[in-house]
Amino acid sequence: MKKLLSLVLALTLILSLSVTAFAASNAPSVLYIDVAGVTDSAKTIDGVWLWVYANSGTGITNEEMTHVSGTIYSYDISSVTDPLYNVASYVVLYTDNSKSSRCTTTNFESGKNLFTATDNDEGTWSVYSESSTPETPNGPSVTNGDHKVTGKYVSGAESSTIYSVDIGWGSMAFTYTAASKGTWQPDSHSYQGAKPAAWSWGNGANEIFVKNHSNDGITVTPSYTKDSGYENASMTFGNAPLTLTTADNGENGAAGEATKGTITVTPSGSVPEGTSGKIGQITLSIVGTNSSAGGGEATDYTIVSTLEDLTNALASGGNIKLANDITMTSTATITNTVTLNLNNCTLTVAVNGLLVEGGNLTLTNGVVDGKGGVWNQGGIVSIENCTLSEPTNAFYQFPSGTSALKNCTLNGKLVLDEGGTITLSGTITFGSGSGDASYKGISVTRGSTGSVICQFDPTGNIYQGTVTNNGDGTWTVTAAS
Amino acid sequence: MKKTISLILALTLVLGMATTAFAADITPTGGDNHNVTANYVAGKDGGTIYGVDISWGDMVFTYTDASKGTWNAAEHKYENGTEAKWTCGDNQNIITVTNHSNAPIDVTPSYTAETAYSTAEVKFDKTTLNLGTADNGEGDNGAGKATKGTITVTVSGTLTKDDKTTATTGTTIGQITLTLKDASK
Repeated sequence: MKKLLSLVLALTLILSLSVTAFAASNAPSVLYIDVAGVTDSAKTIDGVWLWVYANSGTGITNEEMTHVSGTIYSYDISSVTDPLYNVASYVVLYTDNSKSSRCTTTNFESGKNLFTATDNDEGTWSVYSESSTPETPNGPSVTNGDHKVTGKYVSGAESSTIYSVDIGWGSMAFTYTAASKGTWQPDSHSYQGAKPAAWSWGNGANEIFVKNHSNDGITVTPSYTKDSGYENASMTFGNAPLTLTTADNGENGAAGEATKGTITVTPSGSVPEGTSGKIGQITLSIVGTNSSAGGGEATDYTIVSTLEDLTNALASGGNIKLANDITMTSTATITNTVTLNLNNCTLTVAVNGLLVEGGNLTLTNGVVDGKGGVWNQGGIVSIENCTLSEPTNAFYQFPSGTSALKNCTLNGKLVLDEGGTITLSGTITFGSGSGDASYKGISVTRGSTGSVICQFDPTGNIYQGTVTNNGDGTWTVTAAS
Repeated sequence: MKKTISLILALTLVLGMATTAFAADITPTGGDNHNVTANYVAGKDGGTIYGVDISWGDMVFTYTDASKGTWNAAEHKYENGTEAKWTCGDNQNIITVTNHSNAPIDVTPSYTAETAYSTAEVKFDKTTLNLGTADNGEGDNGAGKATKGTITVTVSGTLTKDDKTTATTGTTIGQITLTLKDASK
């Protein structure tokens, strides 16, 4: 009984895929047997077997049975003598390979090219033949039971990045009071009450307020240019570079809030006697997080494939893209502005690696391996989507400079030695360096005046330094006391 | 020669009669009678013949991703944004099925997504399309008329942006299969 039920199921599947049937007056040349969909899922029969027999002609499996595995079987019957009238030619469906379990049979009947057979349980199945010269379809039919679905992706209209930044300046008026020896004391022949030189300013006069209304984060970097004659006066900046996150910070489409911060200016040194007026100028450089200057994609590149080409391109500056892996043999010193797209290749560096000496390097999309890693010596460095594989000091900033790393993996330490600022954003992964597994993470060396600003909580990834939660979605790593 | 032919014809006629004739005794006052028997054999017809036409729309669907709109720096929010949407050309999402069979059929659509694009969902406006037999002519021999119906395909969900989906021709994200079944069984 189980056998019979299974067979009916299989036959139903065949029916569900009934196929092409052309009326043809000529003798068929090909016999098709559609068994697609026949399965043995019930495991109650030994599969389904076909036996196609013709008592004359060639090309037909006269004695061999075919184990059905779900497809359309075709047999060349063009050489069969008058197959449409040959009642001794037939197709048999079995449920095992013994030819003792015949379930249904159909002959190549006269005048028909669509054969229908009925088994003992009223299940039906069909075979059909196609003439080499089919006539117009007789009513029926092409069954085409499957069709692919094609999907095309179109980006939504780009939302432009709008930069809107308010800057409020304190008066930047500073008073230099020269040192005083104090009052001469005739009795002791000495001065008393001496005072050192000092700078002073009014309340808030030394502050620069920055408010970001943009739909992008910004980094504000101050610099000071001395006027001639006042070279002995310097300005140092606190909380700089200043990183402000985007104002696109509303939840679920709600309006966001502007982000803001303050840079403080502290004078040092001295000015000549009689000074009254302008002694220099402060400039704020503002770079968007997603702007090309902040690590975005340049469009025109010099493609390099050899060490010589790369060396020449680095010397010239500009936008450079690797065509393949390149191995360097000496330090690559960058003193100008370079955008280096590694193009998913590996740049193997040597000696002191990629050394930025006062230049501006944007490094993207690849691996920097080999000795030296990447160094920033007083330059501006932006690295995005890169793996820095130097196992000890993957990235090293000394003694000053501004660096920003976004979505990078560092297989050695990130070191801030002495001064400047390093900003980390996106996903920063610290892999293990060679040897000691703890030899990884962020290191702000003792005595360093700079800081590493993280747009994530770096706790747990500190090799050396102290973490402070700024409460605005940023954390600052400074030197441990 | 003629005789021979006649004999053969006569024998054929005898053989062709279904009734049996035996010799019987005849009495002067009586008669004779004999039972007449008959067997009914159903006429042999051609059985059920299935013929189904399936016409597919292109089944090409375009996913246009959402747009935030324009940033208003004063209000700190985007304005005039648009939702993501799926579109297709006229009738590209229609499957038309015509039944020429002398039996009713049920057409059941199903969808199998490519693994990489399983976030796109395909739905049909009907679980099963029922089409009556084309053997619907008047009387026993009147020609019938094919029956016809449609299945409408809609796509929802999202589509991943990659090299294949952004190509001009798009990419195959899945396959629709129609399963046809004799509704009379």
